[in-house]
Amino acid sequence: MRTFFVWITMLTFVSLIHQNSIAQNFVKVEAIFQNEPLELGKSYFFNTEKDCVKIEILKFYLSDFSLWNNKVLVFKSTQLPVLIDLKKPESKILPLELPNNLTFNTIKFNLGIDSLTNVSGAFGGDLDPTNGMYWTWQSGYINFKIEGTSSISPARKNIFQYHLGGYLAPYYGLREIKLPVSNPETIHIILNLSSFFEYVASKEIYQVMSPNQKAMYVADEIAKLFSVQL
Amino acid sequence: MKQRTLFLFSIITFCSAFGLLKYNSLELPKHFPKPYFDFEKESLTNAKIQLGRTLFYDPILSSDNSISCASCHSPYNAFAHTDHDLSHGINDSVGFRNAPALFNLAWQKSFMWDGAVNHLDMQALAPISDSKEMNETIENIVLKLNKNPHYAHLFYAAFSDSLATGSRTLKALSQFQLTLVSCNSKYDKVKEGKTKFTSQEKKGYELFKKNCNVCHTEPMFTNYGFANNGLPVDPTLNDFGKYRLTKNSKDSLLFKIPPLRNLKYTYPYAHDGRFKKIREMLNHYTNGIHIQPSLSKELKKPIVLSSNEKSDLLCFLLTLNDSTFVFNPLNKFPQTISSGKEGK
Repeated sequence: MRTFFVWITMLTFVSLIHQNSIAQNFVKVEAIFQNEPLELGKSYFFNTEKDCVKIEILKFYLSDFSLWNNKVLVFKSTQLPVLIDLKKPESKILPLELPNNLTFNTIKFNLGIDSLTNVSGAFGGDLDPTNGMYWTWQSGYINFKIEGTSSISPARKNIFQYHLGGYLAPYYGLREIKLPVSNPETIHIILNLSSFFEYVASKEIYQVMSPNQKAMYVADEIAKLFSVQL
Repeated sequence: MKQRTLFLFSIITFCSAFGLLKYNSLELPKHFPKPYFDFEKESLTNAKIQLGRTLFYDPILSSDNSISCASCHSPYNAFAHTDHDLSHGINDSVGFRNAPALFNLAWQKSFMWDGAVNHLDMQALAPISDSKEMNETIENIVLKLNKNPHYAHLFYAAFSDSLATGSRTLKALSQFQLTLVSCNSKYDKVKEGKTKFTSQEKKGYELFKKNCNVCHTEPMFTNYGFANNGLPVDPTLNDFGKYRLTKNSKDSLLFKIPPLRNLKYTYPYAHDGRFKKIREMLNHYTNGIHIQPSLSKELKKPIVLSSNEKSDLLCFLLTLNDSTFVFNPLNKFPQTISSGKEGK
């Protein structure tokens, strides 16, 4: 019994110290189009008003956040991958519990789900297959999903669909993203989609729904669209 | 009063412990290898198995509540679909492959005839979503399950939370399927020293080891690999197997090497059910091999078997039938499905 009390006291003590040394930071993720926050279902005109795009669904996984100071790893998140869904504004704010007084100048994270998670069976929460981010005709998470209509797309009803994924070489869809950050309490990650529709989406590439060469190209291009607001 | 509570508590503990033991330690014969499935990460519990069993037999998994897993994986057929070369699902839609038998899945590394699925948990998503099978979505299944009070009880018993989620539904289905172990055939009894092969079975066993065992490796009777076994492409289906996934010509016409247990119950044979009889399959191996670039190297040299030898081989293959498994009441339709419809 006495040992039990000693344990409880120790645990309380440890948890108090623990609380004191942790700062509540956030990663905020924002998709923008033409320098404003992206609105789903809104028509955006581009290519000197010639073309029009309407985005209906935008969902993607971010995983394995880590912070670096001049190439030295100072923090690694143990969080499971998180699903950013533009339809759910709360999904765009990710709490990050960092030790106090941490100095860092670079953030690294992955766009997508790693191979090991992809072969480890069913997970709940953000990884639950009911989120519409898991393929059914073959195994694998969809790392990045964007759907809507665009005058560029030659498909029926001008639909475009990009379901990017793949967990096996040569079509491994995960992309590592490394960005400079200053040291604020909130790290504001921006995904700028205007240039995707100006330069990447085309009448040849408007529908990518399996892990293949096109998917790898589009994933490379999407990864370049991330930045951090300094 | 206190004593009575204690007594009841110990009875409940005893019963649940007994239930766990019965299921959790999948009793495996010594000649079986270690399962590939990681039971340390995901141990079996009676409540999860019973939830999975109920889901397996419940047509609630299909969009019009007409098709259950058991519609194409019947317990009386070692969980295969007999009588039809190509299995059929919702609205009598005919699919493009023969539903494989389900047993000894804890040893299997990938699923579907082409290996498209990498984990047993995720396998159910394929038939659930296929427009010719169950034509449903896991999202909608979860909505339906959460409206059903009977499932609230089953989920609570299994996960200490009555909420149905996609991952819980899939994991429960996995748990039930992991208990489908076939290890009581005459072959197994011979391996355990409980009985002996007849002289014809013994001759067949020798022929088997010489001609078949590289791919259909004992004691599971598959090496869990993929191979082109020389079947010409059916032009009405144009099914190129694993190639569909990898788009690599080396994978053209590669299909999963099926286990040879329970052949008596699982006709017709091959991925498209083209052979009605085991002897037709044997005749294919001796006389029907279609030479293609991706043909399995084991089949490049012809297999020569006389008619008598084929009979001996067939006689051995029949020792792999496991009636204890096929008629095991623990695997059958549970009497608790609330929707009141049995799978077709």
